Amino acid sequence: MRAFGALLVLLSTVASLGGCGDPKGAAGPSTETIPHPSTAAMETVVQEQIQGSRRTLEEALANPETERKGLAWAFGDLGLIYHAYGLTPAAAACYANAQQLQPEEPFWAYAAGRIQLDTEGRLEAAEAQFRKALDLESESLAPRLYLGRTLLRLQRPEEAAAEFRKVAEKAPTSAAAADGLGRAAADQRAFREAADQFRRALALQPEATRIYYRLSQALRRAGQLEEARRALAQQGPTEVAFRDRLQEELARKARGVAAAIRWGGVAQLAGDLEGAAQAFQHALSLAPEDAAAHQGLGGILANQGDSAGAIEQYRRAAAVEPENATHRYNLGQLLLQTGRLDEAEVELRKALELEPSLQDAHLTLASVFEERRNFEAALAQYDRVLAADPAHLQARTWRGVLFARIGNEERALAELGELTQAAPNFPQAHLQLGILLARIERWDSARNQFQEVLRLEPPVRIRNSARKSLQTLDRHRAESLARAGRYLAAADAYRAMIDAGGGDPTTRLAEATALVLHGGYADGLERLEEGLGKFPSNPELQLALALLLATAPDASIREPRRALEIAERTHRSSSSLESAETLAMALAANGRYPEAARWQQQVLEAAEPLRQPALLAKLRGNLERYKKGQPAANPFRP
Amino acid sequence: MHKRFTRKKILGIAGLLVTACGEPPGTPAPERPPFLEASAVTGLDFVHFNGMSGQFYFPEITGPGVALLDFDRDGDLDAFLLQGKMLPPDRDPEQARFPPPKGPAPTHRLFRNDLDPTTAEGPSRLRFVDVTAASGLALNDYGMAVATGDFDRDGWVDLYIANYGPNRLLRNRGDGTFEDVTESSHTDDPRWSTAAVFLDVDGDGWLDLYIANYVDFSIGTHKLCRSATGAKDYCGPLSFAPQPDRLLRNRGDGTFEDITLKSGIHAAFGAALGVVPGDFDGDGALDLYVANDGSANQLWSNHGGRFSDEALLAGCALNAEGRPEASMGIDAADFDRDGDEDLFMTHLAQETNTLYVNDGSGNFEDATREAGPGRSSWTKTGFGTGWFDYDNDGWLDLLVANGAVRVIEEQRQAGEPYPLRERNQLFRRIPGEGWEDRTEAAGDAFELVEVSRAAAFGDLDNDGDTDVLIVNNSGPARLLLNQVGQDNPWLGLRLVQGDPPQDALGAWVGVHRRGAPTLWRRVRTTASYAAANDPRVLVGLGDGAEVSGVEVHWPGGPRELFSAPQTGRYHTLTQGTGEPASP
Repeated sequence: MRAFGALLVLLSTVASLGGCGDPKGAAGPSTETIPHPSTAAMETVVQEQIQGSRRTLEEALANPETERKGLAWAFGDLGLIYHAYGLTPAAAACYANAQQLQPEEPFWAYAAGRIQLDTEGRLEAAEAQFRKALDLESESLAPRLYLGRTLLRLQRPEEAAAEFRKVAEKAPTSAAAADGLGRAAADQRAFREAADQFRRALALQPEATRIYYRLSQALRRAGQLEEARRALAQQGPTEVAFRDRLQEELARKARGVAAAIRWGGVAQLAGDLEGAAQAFQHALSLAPEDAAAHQGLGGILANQGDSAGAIEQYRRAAAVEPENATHRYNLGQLLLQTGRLDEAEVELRKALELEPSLQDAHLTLASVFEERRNFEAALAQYDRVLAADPAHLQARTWRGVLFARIGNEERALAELGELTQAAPNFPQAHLQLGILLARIERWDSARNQFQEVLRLEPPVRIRNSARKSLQTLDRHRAESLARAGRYLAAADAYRAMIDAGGGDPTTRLAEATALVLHGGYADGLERLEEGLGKFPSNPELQLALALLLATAPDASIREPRRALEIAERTHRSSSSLESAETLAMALAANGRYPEAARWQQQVLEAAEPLRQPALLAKLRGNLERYKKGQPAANPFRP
Repeated sequence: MHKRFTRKKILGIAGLLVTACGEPPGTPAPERPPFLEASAVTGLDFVHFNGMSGQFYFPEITGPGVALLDFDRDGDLDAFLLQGKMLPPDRDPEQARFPPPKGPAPTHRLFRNDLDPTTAEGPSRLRFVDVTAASGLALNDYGMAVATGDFDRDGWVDLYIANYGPNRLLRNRGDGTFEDVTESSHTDDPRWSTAAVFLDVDGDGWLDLYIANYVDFSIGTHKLCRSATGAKDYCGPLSFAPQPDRLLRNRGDGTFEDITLKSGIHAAFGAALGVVPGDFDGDGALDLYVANDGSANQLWSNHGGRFSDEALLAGCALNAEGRPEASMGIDAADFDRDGDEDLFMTHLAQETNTLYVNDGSGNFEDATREAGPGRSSWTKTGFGTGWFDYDNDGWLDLLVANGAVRVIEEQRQAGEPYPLRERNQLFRRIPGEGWEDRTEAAGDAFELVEVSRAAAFGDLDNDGDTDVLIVNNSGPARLLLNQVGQDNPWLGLRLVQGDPPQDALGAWVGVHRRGAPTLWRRVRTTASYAAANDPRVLVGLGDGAEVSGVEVHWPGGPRELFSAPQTGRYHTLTQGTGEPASP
């Protein structure tokens, strides 16, 4: 320790002369000169952070009592800060010194390896560093994963696979290891094996959507085209994640405004809105006048439904950068959404004054005019966008919708029809055309358009909208058929809805009712049983079944005991007028007329305030029947 | 032959210098560098002005483009270079960080090549004369990229300029002047266009026009971006919304019809920077590959004038890992001699330049790891690029023009006023091994550290090898004169069709050789980054195989065979003068 103390005295002398911590000529490990960058152009918080860490290092160098390990960490800490801010030559030198002073610490070798790999692209040097880190701590997973990835880039997939296998042995649930094995297999042209590994990685980490792309390519090359297409449809930007201490350290060190804004953007893209909001708020705590941070936070708040908060943030951004059209546009859009049309118009006009070619601002302004029913002004905005870009799909779609709104259905049909022909893969045009066709009761044509939307696999919002429209359309059609007494056709229409994925309890009940009204009691029973198989606790389906089993004119269908059991159970779990009335019917069907009459009397008393004469007449009629020892009247007459 | 003389002359001088410095006699002569930087000695005096004022406006770092074209039909390639202007345009250029020389505002420049075939080969053969003023091309736009093609089939090559701002179609009148027919032809696009290509998408014989657009940046939507340390820096494309591209059909009457919707091209887009036509699936129709900056690329497969984007499934939208890359420069060629077109594109630092190898059916494999030039590109940002056989050994080599788009911190620290400088690179194809980085031995032009953007490829001195004209952002143009290619056997072909004859853009040419694979080349001018290249095809024959004939697949489908032309010279092959060939 005394000898090392002497070394530190020498080091501190050199540091005070050159400020670089280079212990030239010292008896001990020699350290590299650090190419400290000038902090002049950096933001204050970063300057202070770097200067603080440099002071700590210098103090450590100057203090003869500093232990070797402490000095290594002083270099390493500064290295991490430089690394976090992308100042990699300085970071690399710091890590090299930390390694010299503390060769037993694997973290420095790993950090140095990552700079070689990520920034410099020096693959052999990176490999050597990762191996060094693993020699010191073989259980460490992140260095091994990066060693595997480095070996892949060095075209040594067999060796890479060996490293990924070691990770998989130590951490059997590591998606990154499975993904690495998949990549190594693909590089060795073992595409089926690669696909298996990618599937395994996805099972372990389903949110890592980027793996789907690698899976799709493996499947394509294995000749499984359809499966490849399906995998492609699920691919996204989220990479496989794993615990990495270096990454965590770097994230902690990056404390500046720019770093926080960047991190906010990354978190937002990854869907971590809370994390993104925190990052932007941190940026604003350091720089309250930062327009980008206000804009970022405004976007998050708008996403979270806090319109007032978002408007406030956008206003601040616009106050800081009054000549920026984007801030004005964002503000205008949000003001429109909250119904503040006059303010929205002011901001959108300002945006367009600053940037006349901002087409989104024209479209939003058109929406403001449409809200005010100033259709002529709205049309002028759409025309303006289309003059600059005749292929602007949104503008053409909304202009078509506008024609429909003002009653010019012929023009709307022409516009949207032409658009769907010219841009057959643009789902919004099909959706709007479908809605228009449904409005004018061209059901089949409308249906085709909605189905086309679904075929195109559009974003969720449009897909849901098309599904809902399709269901509404089909229900409307089925109800019309039932009203016209075409029960079988109505039942078919309901069945089509169920087959298309719209099998909610209401639709199933409607189908069964239509069948029963047609006289198909057995079919109705089967459908109700099927519905209860899917929705066992649905009271409407239960009551319908009890009713059918108690009162069906077809004796082969009736099961009075079961009917009573179901009616009692349903009434216990969710009592209602209907459940009580059904219970009375079931009691009567079982010959328990006095009890049936008592229940029916209670139902009648409860229903009287409703003042529905038809209902009351029906209830009274059955009450009389029970009193006379007769079952309920047939409830299935159309 | 004459160039050899020049080389000896240079080596002679070098030898004197070496002797004067005391090198021992008998030291072996250094390997001759393949390129000589010859812009100044040939009169190609052009300095790009990007109008930067310290605000870090996005367009400042993206241009300029350049075209090599024979606008006066005298048989040699002239040079047209795009200029920038002050940003914002209403500011005084004197306030620029690097102001232009005093005098009239800088404009695009047209240099006529007064090649003297009677003098010795080398720089002295070439003389460029600035004919901008007389040509009508002294335009003060913010130029990005340029496409060449004879859209009106009058035999004179026309220009389409993609600008930050309204674009221009400039018709070559054939008398040394150009007229702006943008309005009457309906070819404007007011958005920020970054590339354009003339190609006949519907096989009607008229060149249609594809315009690639970038992002919705404007001075009014400008954002301040910063490096991680908070220092001011340029934004990337993801800071703005990408803009859709446009496809215009040539009606044949001087006007174009917008078929973006009808053709299906609207269905996908990103921030486009590069575009290259080719028949990637081998069905005889010209497809289009569009390279987008930071998002998935598109492979527009042509089904008789209607297009579908097949890039994702085909494996060339994203790299092998599934990441979009910052695609900028692009070229397509049959580098592996298997008869289909492969793709190479340039990317940002900390990404590889990426090689997609075609399996012949339009499906690709990211073969970057195996190939080599990906690794050398890790610390550089590539723009202009081209597959060309600089040494005429029969194998396609690669050049990459580099220049950063984000401030290089070490350069800023060193006080460099424009800290985006990088060296350009040359890669030589080594059959069976990939590409060897030959930058260090490539000549003085490759020692320069500049902010290079477009690189246009063509045989400027008609000596049978490919020269390169590189334009630098906020810097001088550099002419890289090839000194070695003509030492190997070569064959030059110009393919023409129609009356008057026009370059048959899109034709697929195979040079058949006895006992050796056919060398296939595409007649195209648009490739690289923001550039228009020599429409002629130059095939190196250094591996000694004898040419047995030439097969041409003309645009629109007809195939013809031509008897073996004499090597060592250029030939014009006219459609209809060969023997019909069966598919």
